[in-house]
Amino acid sequence: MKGIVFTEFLELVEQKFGLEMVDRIITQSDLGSKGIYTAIGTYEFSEMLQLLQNLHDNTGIEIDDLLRIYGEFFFSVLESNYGQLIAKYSSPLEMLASIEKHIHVEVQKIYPDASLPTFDVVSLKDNSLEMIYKSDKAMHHFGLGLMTKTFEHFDKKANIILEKIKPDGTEVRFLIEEI
Amino acid sequence: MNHSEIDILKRALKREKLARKNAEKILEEKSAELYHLSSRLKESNFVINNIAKSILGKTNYYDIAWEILINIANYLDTEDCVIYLINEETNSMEQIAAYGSKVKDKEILNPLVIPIGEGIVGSVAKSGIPELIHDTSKDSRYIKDIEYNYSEITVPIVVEGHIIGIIDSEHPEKYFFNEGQLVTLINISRVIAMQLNNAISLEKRKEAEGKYIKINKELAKKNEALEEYAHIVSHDLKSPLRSISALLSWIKEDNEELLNDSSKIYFDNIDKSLEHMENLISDVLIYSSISFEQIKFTSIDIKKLLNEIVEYIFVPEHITIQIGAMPPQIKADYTQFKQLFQNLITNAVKFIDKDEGKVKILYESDELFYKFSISDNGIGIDEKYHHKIFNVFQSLTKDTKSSGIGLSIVNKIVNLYGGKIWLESKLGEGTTFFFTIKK
Repeated sequence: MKGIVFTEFLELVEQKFGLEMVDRIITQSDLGSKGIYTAIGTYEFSEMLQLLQNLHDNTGIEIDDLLRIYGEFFFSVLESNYGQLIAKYSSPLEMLASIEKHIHVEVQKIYPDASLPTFDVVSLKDNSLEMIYKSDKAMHHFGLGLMTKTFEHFDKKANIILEKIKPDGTEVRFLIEEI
Repeated sequence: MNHSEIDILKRALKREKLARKNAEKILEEKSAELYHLSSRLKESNFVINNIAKSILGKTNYYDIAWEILINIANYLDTEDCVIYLINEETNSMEQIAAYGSKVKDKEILNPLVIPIGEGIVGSVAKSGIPELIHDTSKDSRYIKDIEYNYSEITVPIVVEGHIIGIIDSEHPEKYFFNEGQLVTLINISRVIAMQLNNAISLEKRKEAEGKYIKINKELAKKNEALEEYAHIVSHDLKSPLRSISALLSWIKEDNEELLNDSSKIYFDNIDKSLEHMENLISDVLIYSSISFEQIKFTSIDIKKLLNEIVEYIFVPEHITIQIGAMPPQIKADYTQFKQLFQNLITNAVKFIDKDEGKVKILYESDELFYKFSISDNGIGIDEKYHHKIFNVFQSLTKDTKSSGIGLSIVNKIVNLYGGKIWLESKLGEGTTFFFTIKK
């Protein structure tokens, strides 16, 4: 998993719960990296799972909620780092429908070894979008957080329904309706 | 700030420091990698550019192949580089240019011919998929040429989906070539494919044209000789024929009383045969004398010409000849045109079997051609003979007066004036001959 996902995650933990919580979840986890992350490095996904689990244990917040909040936070990182990419889109639905064909292509240019989830568009209409998320990392709520913020970015609101196609969350249907 | 808070900060600071160092290391490696990639790219661009420049304007495929090889051998730092061309007829490949020990003064010593499908080169020629081989000793397809080479790059040259050749490089060391070089060779192959193919086509066309010109010249010479020969022979044959004819008539006159009836019939038959032979010889003479060089262009009034012909030839009472509107003047050879129409009209008259015979001569014109037609209500010609009646000596009758050359003469004259001749006919109903003369 790319380092930026770890560094921004720890940044969020520090902002919300303080440096002590960062120190605690790192110490409680058995990390090959010893918690030393740089945005341009690559680390084991299992380290992220441990950090999430320990944050959940310490705060009592569900892991899916933690991921959603992190997704919302991560959107602001994208906004400030890759503003031009977002500026190419005029509506949130258009942007979300382009994840696979455009945004991930751009990501792959900067991080050729990034393993990305897939977002297959099932149907795109004027005010609704159906997509299938697939990833062995099952971080669909991270995606949900990003989507929520996408709508906010365009000053729009949406109902987003998330249906697990596979119980382990590696395949999920997103039904997005702009309101 | 208490002790534990200080410890947390210390740990955080330590992590940040180490993270920074890690990042610096990653960036250093990345920039080295980028540098390496960009120099590879530069080298690759350089060789592609050089090749494109050096083959610019070259039309000989040996020259083109040779330029490609020098550049590739230089780029790959190898002594062994060969271009093969695929021969679809023999389903094999031949080395057309090579660099290295195989060559002396650009000439390949003992050029290898490999059937498509054999060896690494042959299998690339079949599959069209480029190959990079690091250790040929582990590849059963490898064919040793002069020395054993462990590394090999083989790239097809493809034009519009057809594999026309192969670029093949080898080196004695294992793991000598890399992916970047393979990509460069694939790009080179794309750059040169079209031009190499055009050069090969040009060569083939030149070869074919050369042969064609030579054959044409030979044919023209033979034709000329043949016509001259026919002319002389016909001329020489005529005088003994006349002597025989004269001698026969003297014998007949001198022995009028002595000859019995059957002998007189035999004499008549001899006369007819002589006449037939005379006709044959005259027609051959005419046929052989028709040539472009013989044309004396004059203005011909076709209507007048036709009237002259009708008056001159024998037309039985029961046959009427109708002449339609004709073009005012045509620039052509008078004798040839007379021959042309006379043969067709005589033919039409000759084959009428009806009580009321009708021959019609009509004319129409378009932008490029004068078109004439001569129709009769005679016996008609079976369609199976249509294609051969214009050939020399193809008479469809057993009539002794028919030489079988008449229509050949017509055909030859029409061809001489850039026209075409054809016919429509129904057995028992009649025949129409059409011919055109170029304006």
